[in-house]
Formats: sequence, C-alpha cells, structure tokens
Amino acid sequence: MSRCQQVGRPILRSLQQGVSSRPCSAALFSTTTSRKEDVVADTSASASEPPPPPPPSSKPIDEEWRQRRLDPNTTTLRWAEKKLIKAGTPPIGSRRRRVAIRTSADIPFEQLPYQAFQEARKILQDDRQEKLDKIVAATARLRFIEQTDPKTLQGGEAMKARRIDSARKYLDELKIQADINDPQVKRRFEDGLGDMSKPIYRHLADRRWREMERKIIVQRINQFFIVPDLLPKFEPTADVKLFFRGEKVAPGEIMDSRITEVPPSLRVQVFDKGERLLSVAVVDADVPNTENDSFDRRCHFLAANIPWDPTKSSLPLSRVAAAGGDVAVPWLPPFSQKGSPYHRLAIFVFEHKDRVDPEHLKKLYGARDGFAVQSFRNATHSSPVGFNMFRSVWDEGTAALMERHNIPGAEIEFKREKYESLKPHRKARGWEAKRQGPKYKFLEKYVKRLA
Amino acid sequence: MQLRTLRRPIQAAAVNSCRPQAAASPACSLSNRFALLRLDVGHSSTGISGRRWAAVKSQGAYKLKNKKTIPKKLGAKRTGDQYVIPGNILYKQRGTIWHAGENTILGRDHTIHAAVAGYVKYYRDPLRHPDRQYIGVVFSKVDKLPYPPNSPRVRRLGMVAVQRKTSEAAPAALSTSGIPLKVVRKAIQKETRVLHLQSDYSYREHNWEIGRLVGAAGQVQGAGKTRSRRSSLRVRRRKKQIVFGTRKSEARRRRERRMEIIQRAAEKKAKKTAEVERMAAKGKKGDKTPA
Repeated sequence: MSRCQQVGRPILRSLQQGVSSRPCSAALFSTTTSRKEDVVADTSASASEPPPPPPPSSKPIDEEWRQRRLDPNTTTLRWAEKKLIKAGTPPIGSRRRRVAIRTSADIPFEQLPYQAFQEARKILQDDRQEKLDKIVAATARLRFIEQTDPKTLQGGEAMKARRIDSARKYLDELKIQADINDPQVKRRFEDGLGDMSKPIYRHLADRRWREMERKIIVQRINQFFIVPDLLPKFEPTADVKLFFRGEKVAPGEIMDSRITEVPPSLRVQVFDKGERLLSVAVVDADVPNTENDSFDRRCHFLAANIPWDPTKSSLPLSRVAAAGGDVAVPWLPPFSQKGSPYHRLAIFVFEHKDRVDPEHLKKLYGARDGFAVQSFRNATHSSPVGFNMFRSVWDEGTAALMERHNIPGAEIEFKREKYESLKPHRKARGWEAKRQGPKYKFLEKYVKRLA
Repeated sequence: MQLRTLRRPIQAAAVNSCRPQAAASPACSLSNRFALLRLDVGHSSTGISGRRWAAVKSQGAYKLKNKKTIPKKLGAKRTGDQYVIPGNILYKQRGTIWHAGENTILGRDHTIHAAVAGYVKYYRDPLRHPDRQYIGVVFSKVDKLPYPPNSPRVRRLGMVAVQRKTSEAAPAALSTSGIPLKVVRKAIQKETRVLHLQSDYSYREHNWEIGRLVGAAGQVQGAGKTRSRRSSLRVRRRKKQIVFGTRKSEARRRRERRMEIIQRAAEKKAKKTAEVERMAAKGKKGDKTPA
C-alpha cells in the first residue's frame, strides 16, 4: 500500500461507516450488483482487516501469487491473460483499467470521497426513482388496457391491440431510461459483462453496433450489389461477425481458399428479446455460366432451426447440430476458377418462428446450384436479419483444394471474350508495306516483314 | 464564294469586249482593245483603281471560320440502338454533358466508352439524379433503360473457358555456377538497391535503375540540405521497415505463417492416417498368418 493510501485510510474508514447506500425499492432491471460483489478480489487491502504484509520485492513463486495473477479483473501478464482466455474467463476490460484497479484502493462508487460526485449520484438516483414510479404506473395501465372489453372502445379489437402495443413500447422505453444513467451499468457494459437478457444492455449493444459496424455492413450490401442481386430489399437488424480458423474477417475481405476450406464460425447477436429460430445460408453469387453467358448462384451451406436468444452469441457452423440446429446442406469450400471475376460469398442469417423441415430443405436445395435467397425466404416464411460476406478468387491452393473435394473444373481457365473490330479491313499502308513485294527484293535486308 | 469572285472580272471583261463601240475613233487602236480584254484580278487592281466595293468584303466573309483553332470533333459518335463493342467511343465532350450510365466507362477526358458489346441507349434516370442524362449499353436491343429498381442486375460473363496452363517452374535464384543471381542491399539513407549478376560475375543494378539513381532533372543528389524534418522521418520509417517490415509485408508474413501451419497440420493428419492404415494392414496380415 502506497504512502498516500495509508494516509487516506482513516478518512475512508469513517466514510464507509458514515455513508450508507440508499435502499432500492423496486427490482433492478439491470444486473447492477451491490458493491460487495463489485469489489475486486483484492478486498483484503480495503476492508477493516489489517493490511497483509507487502509482497517481497523478489518475484515470489508460490501458488498464492500465481492465483492472484490469474484474477481476470487485475491481471496484465501475457501468460495469465492467455491462460484466462483458454479457461473461458477472459480478462475484463482494458489493460489500463486492470492496472488502475490493481494500483488503486478499490473504493466502491457509493463511497468515493468527492462531494460533487455524490451530489450528482443523488440526482441520478432521484431520476431513477421517478422512472421506477412511472414504470409501476405504466404496468398498471397496460394491465388495465388488457382487461378492457374491446366493445367499449371506439376502434374495437384493432384499437385495443394498438393501444396494448403502444403501452408496451412505452414500458420498454421506461425500462431503458431507468438504467441508462447508472454508472455501474455503463461500466459493466464496457467491461463486456452486460447481461443481454436485460433490456438496457441490449439497448446499449444495439447502439454501439449501429454506430459503426452496421454502417460497414450496409455499405458492403450496397457496394457489392447484394441488394438487387440476391434480395430486393434488406435492412440488417442483427450483428453477424465472421471468423475463419479463429481469426476475425473484415466484411468483404478476399480470403485464401485454403483458409476457407473449413466452415467459419459466426458471432450472431440479436438485440430484441425472446426466443427464436435462426437459419444460416452461405451463397456464392458469382458462379460463371458459359452456356448462358451469365452468372449463377450456388448454395455453400444451409442450416435451419437453430434456437437462439440474445444471450447466445457464438455459432460455429461446424457445430450447428450441437447447438440444436439442422444442417440441410453441408459446407462446400468456396472456390473460383482461374480468370473468373471475384466470387461474393454472402452469409445470410434468417429468423423464423416455426420449425422448418430439414428433409424438405435438403430436397429443395441439396443440389446447391441455382439457390435463390428469395425462394428460401418465401419457402420458410423467414425474414433475413443478419449479413456478412467475404470474397474468393483463384489462388495457388485452389487447384489442390478442388481435387481434394472432388470438385470438377480446375482444368478450366476463363479468358476475356474477343470482339472483331467493327471497322472494315484496310490494306496496310506506308513505306514498309509498299516494299513487301518481290519488286523490292534488293531492300529485303532493310524492310521489316509485316504479318 | 471563290468561284463567284473569280468569275466577276471575267464577266466584266466579256461584257466590255462585246459592247458595240459607239465612236470608233481611229485613235482607238488594237492596244485599247486588248486593255478592255485584260482580266481584273484581285485587290491589286482595285488598289490601283482606288475603288473598293463593300459588297466584296461582305459577301461570305462572315461565313469564314477562324482557322487558328483545330477542330475538336466533339459530339455523339454512336446513335441510339447502334451496336457497339467494348472500348467503342460513344460520346466525346468537354465536361459531363452526358453521364456514363449502364455498362459504360467515363474516360479521363469525359469521353464515354462502351464497356460491353451491346446496343447504345440514351436515357434519363430520375431515381439516380433528377436532371442528369445518361448513355448506357444494353445487351438486347429491346431492353429499356433505366432497369426497374430493385431488380437483379443484368450481367453477362463475357468470358470463354479455355484449357488452363499449368504454371511453369519459378525462376531460379542461383546461377549455374551456384552464386545468387541477385543481391538486395538494404540502405537506410537511400533507396534499397537490387544488384544483379552480370556475365562477368560482377554485381550491379540494371541500366534503367542506374538511370533512376541520377534523380530528377535539375536535382543533384547529396547537394541539398542533409536532414530535413521530413527526411529524418523518412529515415526513421525505413529503419522501422527494415526491422519490422511494412504493414502489408507483415500481413503477408502472417498469412504465410498461417498457411504453413495449415499445411503442416494436413501433412501430419495424412501421415497419421497412413500410419493407421499401415497398422491395420499389418494386423490383418498378422491375423492371416496363424490361420
């Protein structure tokens, strides 16, 4: 413990005894924990217990020290971070934040000895209380509308439904407003500890996604003409991130065919509440067709009936069955023949309420060729919610890959079609052309032969 | 115009000669007769006579074009519905009087070229821009531009499938005598030099590279200020590049490393399966022998 911390300890202790947090009447909509939970592992330093002996300056190798280094809240050591990531409990927040937590006496928010800060907190808590009261009123109103007889209303059943909808929307809005100014909520969200089953964290995540990532996806949809080519209209509402062999792929990146040989892993984040079923389709939009002198579409992967909710995010396409889904068309590695323009591999995530028959899908799309996203959408009564894409071109590994997977067509190369000039043929003119004949044989040495 | 102006003096001369001489004096000699017949050509004669007809200047002078400029030959080179092939010029213009629409390319001087083989269409597209006019090329003559919105793009492959040539072996890094064909000499202050093996076993740059070494015209290398802020930054950047590589090269290296790992894993797997198969075959044999 540093010198200034030692000096400040008596003040802190008195503060801890003096200030007590305001009792919270209503249930929290966020998972903001009490401060006991928030206090990080190094509690021994801040509590009333006597401080432990300072660690010796030489690096201790005892187990206790190792354990302390393996705290996801405070560690900044590379090996510890790696170990934590492997264990499934990745380090929390930035390294700078972890250092700050480790080096400061970790005082809970309620006890920070700043008057202005505490006054501000009071204002926020008053505001929250106001919102909670409103929530109680709105809930009562919703219940009242639900119980009213539609005959007494002017618009009848439709009016009642509309009113219920509007009241629900207002209630959801209030739930978000109650927690949006909570510093603890903000902190938990930024640390990646937000519980996505709570409306506030979903709201914050949606806002963050819309700030940049969604814009990039929308730009890719437009600039790669996904919208008129594959779907007439599409507004993504779910975040889909793409990973190949554990590495994130920027939307639209040109990928090596050897890397894309294995199915990718998706991170699908939906922002609206409730259970639903997802379908994933990977479509090649640029399969060259020399017979019709045009482009075809091909299905590279199709899975349906994956149960999903906002708390889930990781969806490896190789383990769809384990996630509870049905694979209708297994992964076919993307390939593009030599000389053909780049292939756009579009990954669509659909949402649907009812289960679809995987056998029926197999029958419809098992042949892969001519897969139409629109037809799939109509057949399964689903709506597209998420999108991501990558591109593939011919590279050194493609020929071997096609051989490995028994894909014909590796021996073909595409060349640009040549067009005859529209101008009539003109005889060659000029000095050289004049001296091509036998008459100028004596000049043969000096005359270039024209073809 | 020229013909008329030339004709006039001849006409005048003819009229003079044919006019009946009222008083044919004895003094009127043969020379006079010839004088009447003389052609009155060009302004020299008018200068002498001191008369200048306004009509001569006005006649057609305004029609003369200014000969001091070269004609630029702008305008439409292909009409609507005309067949074109890729690269054909459809319209030459200064600025974009017409904009490049479907399947066309706007050149550096705003010339519009065809990008595909098809039929030229001149059209407007209010959804794209309210007052622009476009030139496009469609694949079939009956098609109308613009295409309906949200319909899939009409595309043609425009390619033919041929037998793929298997790539030749990579160029050798070593000469027949076993010494490297080129040496890369990285320099921090100057550009990196690539020295190539010559027939006399010396190493030097290619001639065109030596030409580059001289620098731009009017610039003497080493004569300028030795270290500007910019140059020191450049030196720092190059040092960094030599040690760590550029961002691109770094990405490439990472990719290569990744490929290597994948390759090694595949080899290992193949080896393992081969091993398993071998063992299985051995086991079978072992089973068979006692039987």
